[in-house]
Amino acid sequence: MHIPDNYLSVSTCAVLTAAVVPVWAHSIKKVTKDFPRERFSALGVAAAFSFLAMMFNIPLPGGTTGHAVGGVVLAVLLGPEAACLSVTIALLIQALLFGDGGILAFGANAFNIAFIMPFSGYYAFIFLRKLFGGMSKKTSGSGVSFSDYAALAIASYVGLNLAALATAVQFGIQPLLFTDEFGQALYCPYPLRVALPAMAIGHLTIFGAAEAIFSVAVYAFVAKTAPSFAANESVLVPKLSEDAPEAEPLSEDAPESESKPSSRWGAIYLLLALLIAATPLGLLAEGTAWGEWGAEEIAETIEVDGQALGYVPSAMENGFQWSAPIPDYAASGLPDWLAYVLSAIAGVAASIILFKLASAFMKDRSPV
Amino acid sequence: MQVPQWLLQEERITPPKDRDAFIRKSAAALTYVLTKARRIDERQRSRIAFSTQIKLALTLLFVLLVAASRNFAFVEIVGVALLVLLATYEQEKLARVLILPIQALIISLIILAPSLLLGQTRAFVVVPCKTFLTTTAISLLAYSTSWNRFTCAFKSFGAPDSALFIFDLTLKYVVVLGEICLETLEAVRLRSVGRNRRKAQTLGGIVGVAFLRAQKSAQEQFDAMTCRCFSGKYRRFKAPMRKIDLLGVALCLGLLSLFIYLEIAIRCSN
Amino acid sequence: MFELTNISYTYVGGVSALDDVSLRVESGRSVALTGANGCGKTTLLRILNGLIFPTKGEYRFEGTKIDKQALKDAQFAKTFHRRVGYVFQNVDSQLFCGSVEDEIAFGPRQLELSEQECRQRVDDCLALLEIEHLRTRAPYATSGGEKRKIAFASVLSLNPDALVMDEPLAGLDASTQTLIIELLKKLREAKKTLIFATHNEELVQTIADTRVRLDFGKVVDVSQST
Repeated sequence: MHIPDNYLSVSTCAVLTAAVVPVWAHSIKKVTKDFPRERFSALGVAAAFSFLAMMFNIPLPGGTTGHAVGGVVLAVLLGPEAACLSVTIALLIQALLFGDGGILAFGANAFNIAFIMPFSGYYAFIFLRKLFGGMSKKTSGSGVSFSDYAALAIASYVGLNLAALATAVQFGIQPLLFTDEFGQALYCPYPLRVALPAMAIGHLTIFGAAEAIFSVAVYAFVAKTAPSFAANESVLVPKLSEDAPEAEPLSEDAPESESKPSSRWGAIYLLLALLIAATPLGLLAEGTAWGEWGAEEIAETIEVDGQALGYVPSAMENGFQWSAPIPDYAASGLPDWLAYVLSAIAGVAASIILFKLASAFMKDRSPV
Repeated sequence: MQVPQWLLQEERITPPKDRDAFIRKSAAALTYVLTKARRIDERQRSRIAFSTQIKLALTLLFVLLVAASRNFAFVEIVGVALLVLLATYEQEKLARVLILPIQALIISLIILAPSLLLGQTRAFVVVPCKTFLTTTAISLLAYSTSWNRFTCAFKSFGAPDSALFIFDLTLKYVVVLGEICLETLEAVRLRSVGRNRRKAQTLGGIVGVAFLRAQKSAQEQFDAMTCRCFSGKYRRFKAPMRKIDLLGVALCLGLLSLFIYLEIAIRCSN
Repeated sequence: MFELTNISYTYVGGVSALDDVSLRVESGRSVALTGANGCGKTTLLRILNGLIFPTKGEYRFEGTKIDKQALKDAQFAKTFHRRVGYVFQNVDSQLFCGSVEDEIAFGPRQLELSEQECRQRVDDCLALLEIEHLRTRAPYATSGGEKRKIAFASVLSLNPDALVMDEPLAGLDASTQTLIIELLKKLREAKKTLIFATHNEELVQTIADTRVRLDFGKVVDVSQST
């Protein structure tokens, strides 16, 4: 879901950054109040935790794996404000130190992943827990009722998908707003009717499931083990100590305790199976957009077929040969001779790089 | 001490097949992070390295201008310059720097391929090119800079000290908790010789342990800070500037003027 | 200098860690705490540093009672922590700055020493522990032994009167152990008060004047070390 640079216009990035600044300010204020002097270490730790959470691969039913963000479970454990700040720092590290997600798009990513996701997920969780609270009193052996897990799983799913929706909208408005005089998109070329379903497919299925599993798994473990910490003037889990004060004291074998886990996990997998099975329904719920897209896309392909065929080869040529003269749609202030000199230099440099890369690979392969 | 008989005999059990890709993949991701964390700053090894604040400024400016430029000539010129710079690198460094941008290039080509059907040829060429250049710049920055130097650079851009402190702490805990997670993952992998039917629970355990260790660690560290008279202030030493940094400033200015010249050129030609 | 009278400490949840411990440490003495794992050594050291407060009994430092109230006074708390340095068992929680030089300068800066003085102390401490080459490195990116040396340097830069150490030699290689022992010898000659928990017999023999043996939270034996 991390938006790279060059897919959003610079102005979109600026607007989203401006939108997320007040959220940061609010979060800093709230966290400073809630986490008095310990805030430094607590925030640093939480940010590191959220960064690492994003590195984990989540096992999914059927043997595949997916990534989770962890934004919602953090919000439930730490409060949405602390989660917002932690995820923001984690995103900064990813962008700057790992090139994952753009630098200019940092504000946009923070808006989606550090603002929309934890806040919406958190309030969805609160709402759902109230909603389920009356329905079920069955506890799952760790002081947290089964309905809490259901609420968390759904809230995570909702939070992730809202963030994905926001991302899709940001992609989708680019071709609407930013095109050159030939109608060519300057940034992301996909309109909403393509961007929305493209994001929805992955996030309503694999990533949504990964997020829900991750949230529930982490929460289950911490809830089981946390009471002892909650008593110990916990820095990191103020919310949880509220949630599970009457939980039974930590037993010796707590992390591995066999409190009927199979039935609980069975239920969660069932829930996930339902969610996955319901995915086509979710796509249909996008309603007309999804239905139309299929037909229109095909029509368009046929419509522009001749043109596209005529166009592709030249575009490929420009795309793959660095030495190609400046594409005709991008006017330039360079004289022709300079363009050719540039091409020559680029060609030489590129072949040196390729040669070096190739020999680096050869060295790796050959037995020493 | 009585050693049970079965312990003295050779075991003859063929373990059932299991898909534990999540452990392998997670461990690989963590190892990748930790290797990067231990990188030593280039400035300690090389005399011709810019100081981090200059590198950061140059990279940010580069990314901003490349993303903002409407004149493809700008992308071509800086692209060629970057290629020439890359060509001077030794093999190993080159391979490490280029892994990320090449992945980014391939992914964006795949993402954008269908846009050709929409007739969006410009995006298909421009966006991957720009993406390759900006990720190369960031990758270069990340490769040549050790993590803690970034904080120094933020400082010279006027970031508040408390924010720097949190950033430093985060980096520290990424390493500390990352090591814990990796150890736990390895332990789980070494012991999972059979079929693990409760993978999600295993994962919850690993991440949960890290969470609780983190929370304990935060408390302990606050104690350590108290013991060293912490009164709410945090300061960092500034990285000393070198003469070569002037060249960096000149590069920034050059990049900016080229950008302005070419943008005016394209406006005039329309 | 340190005076503990009939101290008990019970953790939340009812686990008793210390039971009626009395201990007096005069200035310039060096005391080794020994005993099996979980016998209350670390708890005792944490009380000495004012990180936790005894549930029963009284702890006085140079005649001043150390409790929550006393340490609320920021001025006093700073002076107290300046004078009593603590080297943690877990170096990972002790080191939290972005570079080794900042780590060492952290304490002096909290005391608002001049930047020049801070720099001087950093240089000296780096030299003292033979870690000049680590100056700009991140503490988290160094090895276990190096971390321990950095932890020592960062505590010594405050020039404490008393040094409280939890397992100062744990997990160190032979040459680093020798370096630390030499350092402690010199500190002892300089009349610093040293209190440390250890399992290392050599350390007890060479450094400690007094050995205090703890067992299940009680002092079972106090003997003069040779």
